[in-house]
Amino acid sequence: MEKQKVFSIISTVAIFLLFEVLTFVSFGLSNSYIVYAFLGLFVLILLVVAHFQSLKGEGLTNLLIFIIPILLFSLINALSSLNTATHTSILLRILIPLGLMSFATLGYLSSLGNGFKISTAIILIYGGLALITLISYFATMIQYVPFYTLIYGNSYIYYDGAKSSLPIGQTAYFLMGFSIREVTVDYFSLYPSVLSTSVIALLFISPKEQTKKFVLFAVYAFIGIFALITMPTRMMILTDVLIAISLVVIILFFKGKIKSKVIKTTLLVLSVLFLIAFLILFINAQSSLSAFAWLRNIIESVPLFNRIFNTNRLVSRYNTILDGCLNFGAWLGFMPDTQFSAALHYDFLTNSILFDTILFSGFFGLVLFIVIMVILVKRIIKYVQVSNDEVMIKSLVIAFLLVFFGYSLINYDSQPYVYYSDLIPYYQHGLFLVCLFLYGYVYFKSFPAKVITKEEIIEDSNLVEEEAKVDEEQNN
Amino acid sequence: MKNKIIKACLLPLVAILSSCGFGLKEVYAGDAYASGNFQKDYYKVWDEKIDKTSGKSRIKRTEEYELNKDIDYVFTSYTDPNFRLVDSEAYKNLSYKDDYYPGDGDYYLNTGYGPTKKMSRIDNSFKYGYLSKLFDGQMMCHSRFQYARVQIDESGFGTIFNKEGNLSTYFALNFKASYDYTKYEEVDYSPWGTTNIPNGIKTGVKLKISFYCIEDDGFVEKTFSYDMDDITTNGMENPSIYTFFGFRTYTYDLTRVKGVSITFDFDRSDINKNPMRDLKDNNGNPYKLDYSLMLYEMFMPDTIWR
Repeated sequence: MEKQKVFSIISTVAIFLLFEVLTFVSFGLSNSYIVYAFLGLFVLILLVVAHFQSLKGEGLTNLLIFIIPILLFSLINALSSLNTATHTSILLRILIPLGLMSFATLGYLSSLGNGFKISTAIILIYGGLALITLISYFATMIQYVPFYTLIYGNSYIYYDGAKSSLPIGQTAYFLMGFSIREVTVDYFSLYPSVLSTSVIALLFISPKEQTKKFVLFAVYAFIGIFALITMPTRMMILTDVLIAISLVVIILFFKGKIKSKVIKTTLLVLSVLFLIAFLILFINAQSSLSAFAWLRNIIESVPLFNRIFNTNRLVSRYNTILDGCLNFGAWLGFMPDTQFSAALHYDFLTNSILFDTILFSGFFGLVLFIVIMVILVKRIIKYVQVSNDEVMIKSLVIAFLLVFFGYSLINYDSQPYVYYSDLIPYYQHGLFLVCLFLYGYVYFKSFPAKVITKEEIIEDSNLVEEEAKVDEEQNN
Repeated sequence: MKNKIIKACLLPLVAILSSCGFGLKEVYAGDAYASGNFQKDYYKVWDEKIDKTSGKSRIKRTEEYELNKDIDYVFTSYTDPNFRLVDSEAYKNLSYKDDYYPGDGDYYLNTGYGPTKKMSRIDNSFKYGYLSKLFDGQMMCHSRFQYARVQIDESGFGTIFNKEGNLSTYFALNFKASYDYTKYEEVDYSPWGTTNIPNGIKTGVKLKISFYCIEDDGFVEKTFSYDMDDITTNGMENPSIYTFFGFRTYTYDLTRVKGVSITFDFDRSDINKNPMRDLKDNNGNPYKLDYSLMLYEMFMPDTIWR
């Protein structure tokens, strides 16, 4: 009994610390992946100690099936040639897999913890996000004015003796760790974009019955949406529209206005279209593969296809990365030439986590990333169907994941600083770790919990009576 | 209902009121003062608080000082004995020639005078603005032409710093003079370095450095002048044709320095000695000669800025 009590206390402490860690990571405290990884690992150890009994047998098998793709993905990133070229420390290389696995496993095991409520976790995650967005927004507005991205879109400042590399309209100020730094507006806008998904909660919370909760989510949503509106750029307008469409679809689905069959069919069609487009893009970009020259010729000869797959600004960067990624040397990270010069790689950043994965972790990394995304989508569908979470929670979790990955697919800036060339690969970003946590949670919840029915209770009690009768007859 | 509306408007109001635009004080549409046209690249910007012609000047009074080479330890080159006396550590350990070039990073830190003593190392506020060119540690051209220098004519420029400091050691300025690589409007221009352009013209220059010290709600303008009669014009890269000018400041009351201006006078009669003076171009237009000082770096070592 005493042992149980101790484990129970450890579990309670672990969950409390988990809430703190989620808040700090959403807030970006210290802006250090190493700190996040250590914190995640520490809390995980506590949780495992408290609940290792539950992990035996089938539980352990399920956990291993969940964690293996993430382990492989994180190992590839730790061993990637980009980390070699940038002289990443041994400590960070060890912590990359440990940190990623810790957060994913924390999500998976969190439901076992004493006092864990996903609603509390969600509120705290959005709270951390709101706080950093607010601070950074104020820091930006102190230097600039609302709508400066439009007013000063092509104006420059002088910094350290030279014209700034980016116009004012593409820069913002952000709390990075413990200091305010100049960052790209693309990096900044990730935060209010994800934060704006909290608006969904307002449609599920009654302002009269749960006033405090309503006001809290209203403030969160306001901060995110206000920041997006007053700092518009062309790319942000595109991502804002996509986010708005996604949120509307999620709301309509959870309000029962759209049937799940429609969503499934739409998802399937979009996935197939995306896959076809990606394959065409991939093959078209392989300039050394003469077998597919016919495809390249067709694309070049049709102006529309040529514009989509060759000459637009986004795709030209993707093509640079895709071309040559099948070469042997590029399987663990793309090297555009034989020089291991970190500076060269920064010219190849694509602002897309999908294509930057090829740069950071090579062809194998890309395959594993896609596998994890496919598993995530499948588990989300199951989670919606079988989980007993509130509808509001389900919609917020899905919206968070969808907006983070959707936004990062087209606009994640791995080189956020304006005056420094430091990289923040997406897998070291705090919000990615939060997404891993939610992924683990969704994965765990996507398996139906064993429910003992009334019939089973009656059946069991009948069995006990029969056994008692047999014993009595034998005794007689 | 009214209260709810007021409460709902509070946050956007705070957000809008927090927008101060401090970072927008100096914005440029492109490459500022870098057209490559000599006559268009003069930096003549004066902060209105110290511009006597603006009508908004807050200068309460002025003090003028004629520097004396011996008393004020004025130096006009890195090897000048006065500089050795003013900053013997720098003279012994730091090289004048090892200065900064974009891309060098910290390569010449603690070995080159410019990268080690630059103002942007003393305070981050010197990294911002067009005049950050004078505080980035690049003391010489390195073929960066108009991108490396601040080009001034006699009217010079005047700036107010973000912070105030006390000048208790010395002031230094690295510059050269030029009226060669010039592009003339309406005239076929000759690229710099050709034999048509005069090199090595010696002119006399009276350099005036003014510091603006806070006093009550205004400034005291303290101007230090010094005559140099052997400033040589040259468009080349030889470190020997730069002038490393400076003087000791700690005998003067230069506390709460909030701004600086640099102007100069030069003896125009020297132009009459210029063999180009009477030349005309293909269209019969006389060559127009402009004279400027090209400022590369300004130093106020060992100062504290608040």
